[in-house]
Amino acid sequence: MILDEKHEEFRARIRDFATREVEPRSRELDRKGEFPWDLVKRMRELGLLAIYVPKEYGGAGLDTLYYSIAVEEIGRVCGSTGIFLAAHSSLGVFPVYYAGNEAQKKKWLVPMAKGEKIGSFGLTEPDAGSDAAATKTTAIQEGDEYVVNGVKRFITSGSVADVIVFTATQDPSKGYHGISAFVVEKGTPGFTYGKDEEKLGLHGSITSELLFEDCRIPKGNILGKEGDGFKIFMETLDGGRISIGALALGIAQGALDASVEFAKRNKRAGKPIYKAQSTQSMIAEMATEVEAARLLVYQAAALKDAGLPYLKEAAMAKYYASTIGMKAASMAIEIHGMLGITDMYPVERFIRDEKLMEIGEGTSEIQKIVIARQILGK
Amino acid sequence: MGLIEMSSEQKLIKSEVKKFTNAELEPIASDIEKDCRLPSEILKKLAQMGLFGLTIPEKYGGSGLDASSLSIALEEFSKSCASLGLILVVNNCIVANLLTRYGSPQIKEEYLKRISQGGIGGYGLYSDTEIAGKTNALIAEKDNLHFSGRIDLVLNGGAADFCIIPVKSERGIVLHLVNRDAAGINYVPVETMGMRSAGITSLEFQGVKLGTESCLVGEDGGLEAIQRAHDFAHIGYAAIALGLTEASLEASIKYAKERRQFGRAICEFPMIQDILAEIKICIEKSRLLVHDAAHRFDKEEGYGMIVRIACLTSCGGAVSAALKAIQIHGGYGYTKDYPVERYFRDAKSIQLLGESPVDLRAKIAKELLV
Repeated sequence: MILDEKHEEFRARIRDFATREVEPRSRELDRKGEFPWDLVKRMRELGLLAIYVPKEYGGAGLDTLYYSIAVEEIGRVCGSTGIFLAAHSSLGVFPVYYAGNEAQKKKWLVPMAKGEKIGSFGLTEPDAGSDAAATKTTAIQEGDEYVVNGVKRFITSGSVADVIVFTATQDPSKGYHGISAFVVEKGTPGFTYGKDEEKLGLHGSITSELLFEDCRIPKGNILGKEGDGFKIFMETLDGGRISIGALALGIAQGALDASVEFAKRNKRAGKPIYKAQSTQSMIAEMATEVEAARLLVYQAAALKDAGLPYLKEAAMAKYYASTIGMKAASMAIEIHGMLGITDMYPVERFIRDEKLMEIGEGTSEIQKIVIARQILGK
Repeated sequence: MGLIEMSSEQKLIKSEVKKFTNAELEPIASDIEKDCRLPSEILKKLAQMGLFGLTIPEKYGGSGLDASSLSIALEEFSKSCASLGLILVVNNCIVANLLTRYGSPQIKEEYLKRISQGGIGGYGLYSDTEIAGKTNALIAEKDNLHFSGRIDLVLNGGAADFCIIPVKSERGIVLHLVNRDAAGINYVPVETMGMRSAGITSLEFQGVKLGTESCLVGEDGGLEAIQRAHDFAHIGYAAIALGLTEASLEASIKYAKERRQFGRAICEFPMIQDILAEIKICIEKSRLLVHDAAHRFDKEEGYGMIVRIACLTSCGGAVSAALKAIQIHGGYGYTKDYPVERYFRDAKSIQLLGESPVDLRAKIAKELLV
């Protein structure tokens, strides 16, 4: 795809940072399950933590395409750091940017955009996954406060975040009309954490359980009006899909690049691996599909930037990029042969990390339903 | 009655193994995999049940059974713990097979009996991949009996009492038999994606003397020797993969019935049903192929191609079934609270530990084009 010079320059800058500073950390983050505080700090210094937020609110004032490129390039070398960036920017920052009033933006958006505070988004619950409207967490108004009770699960960066946007219902009988979105800050009494998940991949990313027990938050912590929650989280997920598509794309590109390097450097049965037709066939397939995924991701980003509908395209981008990403990572392991299942090479990490892209922020099955609805009408 | 007929002996093996895995293995399978260990009391019990030397001739203390019976046991084991399946494959299909075919009477007496009684034999995987700037295989040079170098992947390396090691020579491959305590040999742990309880290691050699006394198969017969052992092992890998696929289906059915979203159990959604059906199709296809391959191997009738087809189908099927199982489990499937992510890592590992899918397909084509 032909990007303008500014976007290409930006990509070169991020790739340089990713290669020099993120890549050397990625294997260790995976093995030790460490949260990359050092890289978060560096991304803050580079202004990457709220790329699309206007400068007046502390962001970089760039567009969604820049943001997608950043997630893609970080994801190319480290899925864990990539998912942190995507979750902070799309899930933590966005709802406040989208639905917050001026005072709320000043209080939460600005420090999150500047990277002084880490953001997170509490939507999923133990019994409300794909069916996010089945939220059981309640927020009942008492005087100037809401009293929150409930459990959130699989929350990316949950226990390291300073600002958490979450959904809760004020009236479960109203279904999604009863859902509102609120902000809770780290350290609020009644707000604690359950266990962090042990996962297949993304070991350097924290996935938390959030526990609310008679947690009192000020009335001013509601985003938008009562009942706006469903709309806010749907809008948040629509944009989030672009970033997960970008991350899936980045990991796929990483798998391709690792394969090319391995095939060029090494021999099999006395012959350079890249000269084998079977290798060439896989490389060609991977490269073509990665390119197609890139077009879909950038198209969704460009539509969003142009203020045009992008729901279908974002769902397609996420669905397709994660599907071909799994395929690319699998082929990459094959090209590496039996050493591909060891941590001597990054490809087994890529496939473990990539699998989440088919699940998080709407499974592939949900994406297909979204796409089909857009095509078939209601 | 279907195409597959089990003898009464095989039915007994199946039910014994099932009883054992349900009672002793299944409850701890996830924990021991997390810690990369296999408790010695489990291994001891398996040896007592005669499973370590299932295919070893009776006069060496084994059960003298065939590949078909072994496959049935492997399938059953691997539903709970594929790592254990791999240990049994290496012991039976590779190590015991090579020792039985090539060992001197004394070697057989000593080493086969050891395995029958619960010993573990290691096997250095021969790789034809040459990594730039690195010695990844031992190469025999004339008159040089002192070897230094590294074998990247040794199956059963973690607990092996002894190890069979392929060494590349000018004209072929020499197989050496080396005791664990031999001087200059160092087993080094390796981080693998799956099969983490199976004790896969690397092996480092420093000035180790490998002469005629340790030679099991000379350079003229080495390639043929490992080819047959590998064929046998591929039947084993296919049987392990089959067990994993069944485990993925079982877990998926259970979860899909329990999990409710949008007001109903998710097993009521056609997209989920479609996935379940696909996994089931894969199981039946793989099982027929595994049994056919094992049967032909036992009868020694042109088994090469069917072994490769069975291995490709079953291992590929296990990978895709496990990924589908994770998908059905959603966020939960991505965590270690459920076993399906382990099934995936194990399946992907078993698929790569044998010959790569590309090589297997190439060999099938070669045979077609003779």
